Amino acid sequence: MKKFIACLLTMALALTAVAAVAEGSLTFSWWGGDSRHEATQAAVDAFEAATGIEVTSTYSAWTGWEDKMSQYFASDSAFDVNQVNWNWLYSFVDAQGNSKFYDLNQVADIIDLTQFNANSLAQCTVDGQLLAIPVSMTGRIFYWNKTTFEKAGLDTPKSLADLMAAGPIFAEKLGDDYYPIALGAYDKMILMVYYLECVYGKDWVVDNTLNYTAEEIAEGLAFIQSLEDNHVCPTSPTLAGDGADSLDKNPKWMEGKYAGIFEWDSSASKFESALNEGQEFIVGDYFTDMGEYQGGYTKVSLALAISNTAADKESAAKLIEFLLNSEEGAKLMKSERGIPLSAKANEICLADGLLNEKVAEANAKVLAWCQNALDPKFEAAALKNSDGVYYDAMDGLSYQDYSIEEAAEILVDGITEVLNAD
Amino acid sequence: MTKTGGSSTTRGDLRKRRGLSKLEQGYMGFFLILPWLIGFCIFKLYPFVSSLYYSFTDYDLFKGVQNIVGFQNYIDAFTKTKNVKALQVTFIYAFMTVPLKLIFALFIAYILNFKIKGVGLFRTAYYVPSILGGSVAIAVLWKALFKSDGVVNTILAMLGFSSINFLAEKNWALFIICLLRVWQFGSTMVLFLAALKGVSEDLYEAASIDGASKARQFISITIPLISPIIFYNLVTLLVQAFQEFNGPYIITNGGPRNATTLISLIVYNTAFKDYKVGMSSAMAWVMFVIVMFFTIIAFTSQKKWVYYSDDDGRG
Amino acid sequence: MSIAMIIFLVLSIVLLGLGFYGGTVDMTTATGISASIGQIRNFYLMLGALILFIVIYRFIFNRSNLKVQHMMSTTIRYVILIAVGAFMVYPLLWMVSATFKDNNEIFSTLSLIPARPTLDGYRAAMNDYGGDINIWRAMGNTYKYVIPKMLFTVISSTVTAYGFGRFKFRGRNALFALLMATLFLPQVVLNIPQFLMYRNFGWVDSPYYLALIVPTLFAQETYFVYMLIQFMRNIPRELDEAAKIDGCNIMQTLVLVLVPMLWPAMVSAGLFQFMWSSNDFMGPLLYVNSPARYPATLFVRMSMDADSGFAWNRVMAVSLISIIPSLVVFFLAQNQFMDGVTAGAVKG
Repeated sequence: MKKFIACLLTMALALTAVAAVAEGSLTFSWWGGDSRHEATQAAVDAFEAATGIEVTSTYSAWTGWEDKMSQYFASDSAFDVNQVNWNWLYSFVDAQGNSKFYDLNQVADIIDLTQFNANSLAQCTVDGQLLAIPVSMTGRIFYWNKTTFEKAGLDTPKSLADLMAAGPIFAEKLGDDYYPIALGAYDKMILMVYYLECVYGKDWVVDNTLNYTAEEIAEGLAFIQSLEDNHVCPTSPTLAGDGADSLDKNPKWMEGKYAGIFEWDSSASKFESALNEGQEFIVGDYFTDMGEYQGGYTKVSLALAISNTAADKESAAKLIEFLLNSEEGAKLMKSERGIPLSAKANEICLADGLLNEKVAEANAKVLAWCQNALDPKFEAAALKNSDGVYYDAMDGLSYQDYSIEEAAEILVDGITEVLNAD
Repeated sequence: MTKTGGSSTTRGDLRKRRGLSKLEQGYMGFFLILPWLIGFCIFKLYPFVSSLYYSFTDYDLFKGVQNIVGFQNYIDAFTKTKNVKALQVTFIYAFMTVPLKLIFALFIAYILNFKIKGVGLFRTAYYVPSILGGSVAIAVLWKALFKSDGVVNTILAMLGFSSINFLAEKNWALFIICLLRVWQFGSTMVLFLAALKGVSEDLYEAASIDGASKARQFISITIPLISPIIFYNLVTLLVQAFQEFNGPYIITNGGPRNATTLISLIVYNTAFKDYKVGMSSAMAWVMFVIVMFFTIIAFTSQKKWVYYSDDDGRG
Repeated sequence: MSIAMIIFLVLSIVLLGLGFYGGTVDMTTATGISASIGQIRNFYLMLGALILFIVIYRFIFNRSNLKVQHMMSTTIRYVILIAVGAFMVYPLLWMVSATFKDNNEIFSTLSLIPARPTLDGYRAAMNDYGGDINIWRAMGNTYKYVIPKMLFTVISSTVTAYGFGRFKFRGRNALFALLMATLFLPQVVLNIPQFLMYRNFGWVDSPYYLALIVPTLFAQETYFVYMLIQFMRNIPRELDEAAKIDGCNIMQTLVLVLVPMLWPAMVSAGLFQFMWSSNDFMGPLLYVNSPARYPATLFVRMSMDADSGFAWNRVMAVSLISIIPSLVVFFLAQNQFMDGVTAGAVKG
């Protein structure tokens, strides 16, 4: 019987092996929307034409992608080149502490690292290993649907006071289902951290320790609560009832009933294109009346990494170099992954006017404003997932399951637990 | 089950009398079920046992087993709010869905069992949802029906009710997932219908002559006679209810506030989103024990209320 | 007038009273089903009116002649059947009509007939999404594993049922009990370890959907084995004996004698496996990773997220296309379905 099983398994394995990609070719994965797919595919085609290296692409939308990628990496069957989220660099590690990603310092002769500033490379360096090349830096900023604000007879908010004042005016002039800004639970979390950083001027996490006390966090939560209380942003139940997975899929955003968002600069175009015809979408300004400091953080939005299991790491490195640093690659990729960090690519895109204006404007504002650093565990799965700590605290507050103090305690406990985990 | 075994022994005896070699029988029968047995060991038994083992470890999707943690995962299963909530929600869900579906299916089957014109048409209409109900497409449809400006709320508005935020209110969200399953009462109903047709008219006539009311007849004659089917439906529906995954995954993603995070969903999330395979296995085992518990209760209690006639052709 | 009727009458008056004068008692919370039913007053009013109607109806028709009573109860039955039928079918019809509406119209009207019929939904549904996948390819992918699963399940289950149903061997009873026990074994317990095991076999994301197909070679869908055993019990043993006397070996007996008799049951089993596998979501979710290999179920899920904005008519069109084959198969073979459902259980 054992023999039989062995035979069977060997047969099955053989079948899979046949399907494995032949040598001298690469596999490449990313997630994103349609326009990113098209641009990247075009760049990949150009790479194939230029080098003769065959590339098989796999790409999809974000929903469920992270689960899939973690399965791939956990089973050592990842693609050769991957678009990665920054926090993966810290979470995709095996029991011995070895990263699932290849140290790109080894291929520094192929990838021109001098095009990237040291600070951003440092963010992708773990234990002295450069695990990924950052594609762009990003931060959260306000965006407004100017058309809706005009309908309410208002200018787009320039300060927190403007925003707070807009809530009741929206309810009164446009109707109860109009709100000046819509925030999901994770958006609220980031906005709260931004608010607290403005007030206190200190980083969220320092030396792997939460740098804010429960009382300070309660203050931030009270701020978030005040947004809901003043009809500035819809409650979690309201958003859940809209039946949309994310804000850009929400009909109320598309119709302009939700007139603002606090989003990554790199995802602006997604929100803009979701809007129905005839609405003007503009990049907002940071509020100067939130506190004495310039809060908010920037982080690596996306990075490209080579998995440790890639057979041909040189070709993989060539692909990254081509996509990020070459003239042809830069022209094709444009700002589909945010404003390119690579100095050369940035220059080329600027010269040719290839950058999406809104993205460029937002990115410039973000980089000029944000002063704080982000801790990589801020985006840990146990915190930011829909069943994680942030959602629990923010939705719990909104559903009135928790008082502000309880929600603050949940955040402190949950974050501390994640920070202390190995 | 024991009954089945018993009857086949008699069959075996019969065969012996007819002079078939017992040895040949034994060899061939085993050979025929061998593939199943091998498959059982690889695809059921091994995972089953290893799941038990994992549940006592800190198995991480990336790091594998690092430590044996004893009963820690089980302690967490009954103490961590999220997990306790999932257990509660699963119970509420199962005990809301199963009776509703059983009663509804029996009620409709009962009506259809009268001389109704177009039985076939009604039966088809009622059955279609059962065929499609498990698909993602229907889950998507459900979301469209119950969102805050969806179809159901439009109907409610027409009737003069204020709208209900089905997807966001905790109890409603669970209820619409339950409703999705009740909507698929078709196959349960077809079973009841077949059973009802098997109940002899003579019995009702005799009862009518004795002056028993329709309701009385239903309770004293119909229910006992179809009790094997009630039992079968009860057990299958219960096992199904404890495994519900598609509905909460697609319609509500476990929300609002984990109000629809059923055990199967938390098992998936814990393993693939939090990478805690050990914890996830423990939750799965807790669920397994619960399902077993109810199945065993159902089976042991059936002697009391399930009526098997002696001549219904078993075996 | 019976006591029950008086109770009902009182109940309806109380409910109507609650409806008119307040309705502050939150009965629905007490039942645990709902925290709030919009305007609870309306709820009480409708419930009260319904019960009052029943009471009056019983009161009037209890005294009239049998014929009228019979006619009335028949009418009521039809009303119930049609109402339930509407509840069953309306969502499906709404779905079909939604695919022909434009996005502004979908949620603004209950009408099933589109005011401005459009094929935009279908046009958009044909788009390619990430990884060279579109609805047609996804459907192709679905049947790449559904059809083998169906065939293998029927064959392996028949052989296993034959072994259990017609032979006596040492340990048969114990193994049969084991088989029955797996009928009640929740798949959730097995999912994670199975996933880890298939991962080690290299079956995850296999282009041949090995993780989905291979277990069916080993008759692992217990329900069908059980169903076929039940059918086999009704086939007279004398047929086997006669075949044996005619010189058939065991496999010949199965193929030449039993299979023709079992055929309807095998068809039912195949049809059910077809439906269940086409609807299966958890399996592909775990074992199919590359979008190019996505079956329709995952594709429908993905299409909700695939591009910016959200067009319900497109999502509905994709959903509808994905279930059309199942619908067609069902309408072509609905009798086999009904027979199949009953076969497994009636003799249970």
